Amino acid sequence: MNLTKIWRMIGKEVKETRRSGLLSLIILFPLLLLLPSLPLLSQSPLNSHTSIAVVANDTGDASSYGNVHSISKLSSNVYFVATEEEAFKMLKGGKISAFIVVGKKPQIFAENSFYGIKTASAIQSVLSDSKISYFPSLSFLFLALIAQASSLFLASTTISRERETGTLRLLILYRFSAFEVITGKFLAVLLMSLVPVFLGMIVLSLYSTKLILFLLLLMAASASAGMVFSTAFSKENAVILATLFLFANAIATFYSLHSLPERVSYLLPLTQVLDPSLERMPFLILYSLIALSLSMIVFGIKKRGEVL
Amino acid sequence: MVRGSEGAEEAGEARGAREVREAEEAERTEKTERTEKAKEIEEVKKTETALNVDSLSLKEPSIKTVSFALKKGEILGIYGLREGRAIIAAITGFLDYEGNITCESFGYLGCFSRNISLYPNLTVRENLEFFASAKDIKEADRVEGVLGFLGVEDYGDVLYKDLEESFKRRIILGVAIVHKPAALLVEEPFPEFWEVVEKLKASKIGILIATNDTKQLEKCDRILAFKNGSAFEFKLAKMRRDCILLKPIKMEKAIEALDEFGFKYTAFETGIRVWVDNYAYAIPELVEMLLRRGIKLESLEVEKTGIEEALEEALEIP
Repeated sequence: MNLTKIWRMIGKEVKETRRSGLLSLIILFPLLLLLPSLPLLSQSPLNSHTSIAVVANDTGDASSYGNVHSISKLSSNVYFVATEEEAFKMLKGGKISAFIVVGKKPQIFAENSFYGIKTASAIQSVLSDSKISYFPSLSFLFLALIAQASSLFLASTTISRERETGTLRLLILYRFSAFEVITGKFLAVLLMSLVPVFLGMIVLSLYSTKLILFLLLLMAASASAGMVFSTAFSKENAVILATLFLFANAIATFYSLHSLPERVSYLLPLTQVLDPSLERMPFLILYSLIALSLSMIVFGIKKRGEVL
Repeated sequence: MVRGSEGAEEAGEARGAREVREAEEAERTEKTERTEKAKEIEEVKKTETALNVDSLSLKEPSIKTVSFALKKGEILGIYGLREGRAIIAAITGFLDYEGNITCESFGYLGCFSRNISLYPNLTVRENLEFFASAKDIKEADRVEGVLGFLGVEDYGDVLYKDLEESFKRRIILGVAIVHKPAALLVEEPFPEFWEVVEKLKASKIGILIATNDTKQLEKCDRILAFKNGSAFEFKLAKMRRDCILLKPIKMEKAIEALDEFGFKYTAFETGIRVWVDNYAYAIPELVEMLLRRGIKLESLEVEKTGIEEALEEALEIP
């Protein structure tokens, strides 16, 4: 193990990816994905089209119902639902951007997004003694998708590209160990895919250290999965596999919100986003460690097949 | 007196003992000197050889056993690209082998192969720096020195993919020598390699060449060729002889004269074939000698035997 070698490898990888145009493609990807949501930024967050829900349970006293009246003036689309669970479902499905649980101390639940934050603050201006709590939303899922896609695609071409151009022989000749090659490239991929993720964070206005940490772990898991593809297969096959992997992740995550069997999520790291709690983080770390060591083993095996 | 004599005897014994001791000491010092000398010689031998291959055998292509020591500043050519490539692959660790290969430091091998390519999206300087740092070369001007050595100072900031083929080969050679290797392994040498080969030899790098091109083998110091999987080595100086075909009017007299002056020749019905090291020096000598003896020549032809014929001749030996 040689730290300077790993450091050099990171620098080389970043330079090469930037010049090959792959990095700009990866940066362009979140912008294309966010294009439909860009018009939302220009318009005022609270208008007649903003949908909110009010959970009117029995515990509320008479004074709170006066507040509901003032809320209903904010928007024309106000849903009245019986339970909090129902409201959560609507929020996660993107039907509403915030909901209020009325009571002695009204609680506002909103998406952790630009839209949700603005709606929540607008409601808070009406309900003075209310408390806001945020949680991940559809926009967070989009961000997680960007994080996974960029790290997966960057990782899936690193080693397969070297094998194609013939530079992998030179790395073996200069006694780069599997650990040095894989770790150097893995760290470089993490570093590079931070760029589109930060870009997406700014566009979607998502700020939370817990979410950033979670995204970083998700990126690590996706990058290490991409590393396995790129060590085991040729460049084209690795990219095809990465695409299929991304689709499987996205479909499982977006299609069956919260109704996923747990075993599926062992293979697809993006599904962890549905519940981004601290308890899921060790799983992501374990996932990336297993995938990285697998790719190191595959690298060692494929090294023997390499001819000078 | 008695006491005195005893004392003298004692003194004599003591002297004798001292002498013995001195002699032993002298022997010991001699021995240590000898062993030190032997060690020094061994060290010199060690430092002189860049690469030592001992009873190497391969399965595909089948090589029974081959042993050679590549000295520093020497060019060893391997005739037969297939075998040469396999040996280079075995030395660099790309092929399984049986036997011993020892090098001064294993990482410090340079290699040039047609299959090697550099990073297309890095500049020439970045490529060299990356591989120099891979071997912990911390000299700041090492990369510049290599660029100057190859005569490509102006191309330092050009992307590798934008270079012409001949320049690409030069940069690959640069990468092979940037980390100061003890031995350089070259597969199918290219014209640009021969431009700098003298400088490489002067900087005490052992060079191993694998090629099928007999013209390139002429520039090697030693040649290794293979026949049915077994290797034999020969020096080019011995193999390379020019041939002068004489057709004297009187054969017998000419043969007598040639015998007298110690020329190597083969006589046949119509003429005599004289083997010389260099025809340019030999012809005037030969003609003068024959004319003095009054032997007239019908004709004189120079038959230059190239390395190709020499190799073929050697390969035909059972």
